[in-house]
Amino acid sequence: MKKTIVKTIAFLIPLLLILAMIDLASFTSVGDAVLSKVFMSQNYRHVGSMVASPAIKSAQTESSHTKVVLGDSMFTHVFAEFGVQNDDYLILGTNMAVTVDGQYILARLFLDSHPKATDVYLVLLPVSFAGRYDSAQSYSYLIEPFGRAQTLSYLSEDTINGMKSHYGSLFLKKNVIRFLDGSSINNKIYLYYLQKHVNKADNNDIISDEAAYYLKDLSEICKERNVNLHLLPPPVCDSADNADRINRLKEATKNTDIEDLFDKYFECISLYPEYMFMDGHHFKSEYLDIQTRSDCIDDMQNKSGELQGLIHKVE
Amino acid sequence: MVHNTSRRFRMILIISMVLIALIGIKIQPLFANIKPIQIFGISFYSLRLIAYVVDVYHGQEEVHGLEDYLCFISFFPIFTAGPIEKSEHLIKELSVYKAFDEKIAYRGFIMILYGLFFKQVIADRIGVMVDEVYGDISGYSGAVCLLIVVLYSVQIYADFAGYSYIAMGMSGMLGIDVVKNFNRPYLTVSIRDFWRRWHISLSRWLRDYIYIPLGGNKKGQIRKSINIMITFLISGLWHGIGLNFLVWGGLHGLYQVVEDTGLKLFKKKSDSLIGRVLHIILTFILVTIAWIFFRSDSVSQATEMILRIITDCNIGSLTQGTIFELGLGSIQITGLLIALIIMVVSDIMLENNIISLDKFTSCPAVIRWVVSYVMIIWVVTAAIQLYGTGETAGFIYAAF
Repeated sequence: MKKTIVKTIAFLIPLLLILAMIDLASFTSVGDAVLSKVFMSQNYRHVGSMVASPAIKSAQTESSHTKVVLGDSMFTHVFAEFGVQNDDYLILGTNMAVTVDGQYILARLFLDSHPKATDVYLVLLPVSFAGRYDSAQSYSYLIEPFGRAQTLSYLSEDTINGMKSHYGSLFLKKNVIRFLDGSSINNKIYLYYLQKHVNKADNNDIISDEAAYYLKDLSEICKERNVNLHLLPPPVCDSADNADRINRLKEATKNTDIEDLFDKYFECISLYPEYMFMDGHHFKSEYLDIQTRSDCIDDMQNKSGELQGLIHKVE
Repeated sequence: MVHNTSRRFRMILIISMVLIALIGIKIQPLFANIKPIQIFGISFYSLRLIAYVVDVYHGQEEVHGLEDYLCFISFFPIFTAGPIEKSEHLIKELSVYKAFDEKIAYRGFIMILYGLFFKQVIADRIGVMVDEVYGDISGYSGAVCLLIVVLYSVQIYADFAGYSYIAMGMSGMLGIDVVKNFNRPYLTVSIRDFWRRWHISLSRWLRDYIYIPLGGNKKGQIRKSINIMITFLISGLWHGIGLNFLVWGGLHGLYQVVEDTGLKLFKKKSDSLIGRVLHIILTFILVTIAWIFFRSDSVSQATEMILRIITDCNIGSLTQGTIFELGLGSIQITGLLIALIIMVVSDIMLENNIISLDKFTSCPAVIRWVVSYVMIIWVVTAAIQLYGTGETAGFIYAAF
């Protein structure tokens, strides 16, 4: 029996070394180019970091900007491809899965590195208020990029404890996040595990507790620093689902500390015909032309009276 | 006399209870307003239970204690999808103490690896393409549909044989032999031969507990044909309560009846290699046609598939890149082709006794280890490939 155990260990050591070498190779660009095709994991390496990390870096970098515009994927769709040559506004579009928690961190990073900041704009779809750290894809879009940048500490102790109890404290550690995020194979295995067994597939919240908390907290921080906080909607699909969601959002925010913030948000909602949208939230590719998006931005500016001179249109 | 009547009554009572439970579980999908209850492996241990009761009644099996009996019914490697072991053999295996034997354990390990190779590398990858086309038959040309029905024949073989190898391997590692369930069934020269080598334990069960009690072949040709048909129709219904399963069973019954009634094409066994190959191909085609009904959700879907193949079979469309739009990339398809070649070649070599598990386990350790490493890495790679795509599937037969 002892001989068998020794043989088994001798058999397993080279096997584990080979598997470890394959895994290590997936951390390199060349290795990943080959291995991600073999393992069908092309879309998993730095999946959320690619979206959020540049925003984190920009928010942290000192500059002459005095206003920051943060937003979800619909905001990014509308504002993408416009040449931003504006020394005042810093545009940081990310994704709904970043959640309000992530937008809060970005705002805090901007405020800390821009002492002369005057305005923070949050441009979010009604559905974006529902996201939490335990929603589908939030690990890759919130925990991984913000954890790698060691910026999760901006969040409250309750949120951090909630994340620890949901994911396990090991999976909030920088090196573990790097081990997952840096390899498409590792990330694929872990993210699918989360999707299948851990994270919520559907969220029935209208506004998550975290979103309400961080909007209120950001509002107070901005007041303390004499910074104006604006909550604005990007173009919203004119669907029954959205109509219902907006009504429920009105109810949920009524008589709360963030009611004032939302009053202007609801006034500024511009509804666009359903046929223009591919999934009820994002424009179909044929409506992502410069003219349509430019009109959307004009509409946002006219309704809110904000964001004037934000973009220089591309001819 | 009274004693016999009482024993007979008890046997019928137990069998009836088992059948009521089995049929009750099977017919749930027919009622839309019922949330179906899933009972793992019920089809398989129901058959084991019936076999045990009948054998005890006929005095072919002794009455075992509850402990032995429960060990036999719940033996975990074969619990979900067989093989359908007879109590006599398995209880004997379970009750004999066997010391750990490294060679036997290694054989078991290799069988598990071979089974995983069948399941993960071959069956699950083919399953991606099969599911894609069966989900939208009208969206694909007849040639693609033809390719898919052929691939499904391979998928179900690799899936079920894979399960059986794993079950045998796990049992083997514990020093317990379970009956062989597959013996390279697609290398058979007739349908009768196919059923001797496909799902062997079910075929034996149907023979022993349906076909022979019905009279077998002892009451003339017509009665024999009827018995064959009844046996295969029951086999179809055992797989699922649906007209498609009934047609699948009926087709196999019909094939055998035709074979039996002397159609030379089937009956005459050619000794030449070409003749043998032609018989193998013909048998494979007949089995594949029946699998269309087995895989389809309904007879109308199967009919749609067949009509698509007949009316729109432009083989040229296969070269237009459609194959690469069925859920697998070029690397995965290349890997699948290599795996299929390995499966076919190893099956042919095993069939002709050129290689065997015993010969492999006697090879130098370096060769065995390298082969094992390649297999393990291939299986792990295949598992990760499909992980997260929503295409990883359980064993097909575990659903019955």
